[in-house]
Amino acid sequence: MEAASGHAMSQGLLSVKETIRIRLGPNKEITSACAPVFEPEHQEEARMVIYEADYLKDYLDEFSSLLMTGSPEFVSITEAGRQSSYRYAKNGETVILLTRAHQGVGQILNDLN
Amino acid sequence: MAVTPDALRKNLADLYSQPGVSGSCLQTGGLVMNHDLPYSDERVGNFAARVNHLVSGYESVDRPLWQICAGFENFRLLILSRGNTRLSVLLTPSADIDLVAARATRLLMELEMLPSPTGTSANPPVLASVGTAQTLQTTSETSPMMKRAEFEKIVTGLLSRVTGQAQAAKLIQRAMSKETTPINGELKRDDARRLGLAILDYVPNRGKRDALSSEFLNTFDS
Repeated sequence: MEAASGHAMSQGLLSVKETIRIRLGPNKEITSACAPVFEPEHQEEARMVIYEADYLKDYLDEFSSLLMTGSPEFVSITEAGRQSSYRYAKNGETVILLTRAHQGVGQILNDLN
Repeated sequence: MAVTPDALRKNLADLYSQPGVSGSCLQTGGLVMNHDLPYSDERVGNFAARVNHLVSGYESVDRPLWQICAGFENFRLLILSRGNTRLSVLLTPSADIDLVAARATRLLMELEMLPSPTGTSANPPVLASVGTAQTLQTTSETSPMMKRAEFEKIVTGLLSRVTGQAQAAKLIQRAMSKETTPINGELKRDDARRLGLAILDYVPNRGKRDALSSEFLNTFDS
């Protein structure tokens, strides 16, 4: 699997709104999301972001197995101008939060709830 | 990576002074340089290879990562990356991740600045991030100015986490009027960097101040 392209990511959803939230059901269907996610010009990026949730989860599962840290609960990746955070619930639901501003972990966990 | 064990120990000691740090792994690319994780070298080698694979995957699509913070049932895992160097820190859930991240970022920056030990082979490994630093310098030479509005946005964004936005704006205005004069709405980058750090120096809590200063430098140099 490959991570989504930076060029596409830097000009899309977060150029419309500072914070984007997507909630996924156990089958990765969108159960709720901010309005821009449903706009045609952002659907490709939205798909990539959802794909990224699984991409990162695969790595977390590997880390969990290697380091014996227990089940993955969340991950947050920080890059220039963007922070992407994912919370994985035991029932298979996933919450995704994209922000332009970088947040501390406590704040991320609050916002992911 | 040209780092002596003594220099590394000294830098790691600062990281371990933070409560909740359970272990760390320093690697260049996929190669483990130092670790004290409570697992076999082989297991840590596998872990380092996967970390490198993850970070490289993002880098290959022009998304260089600064930080990955992962939460598990029993531990937190912090991965920082600068150039080709990755530092993974295993933490207990009660650890203050943001403070540890600030220390770890500083550690990586200091490792970049350490001189090469004398008597190394004719063709020693070189930190990839040295090249990055040179690139940044070149960029800075070609574009020595930055927009005042851009500078204010960065600093206000950081300050607003520890104070109100109005208070943050006031602090910036006061520092700017004392320190420097914008030319056509632009600041010299060197002035902006110095000014940003001086403004953040007003943050009373040392840990928060360090964290915000590190993040300011990351954002400023990106």
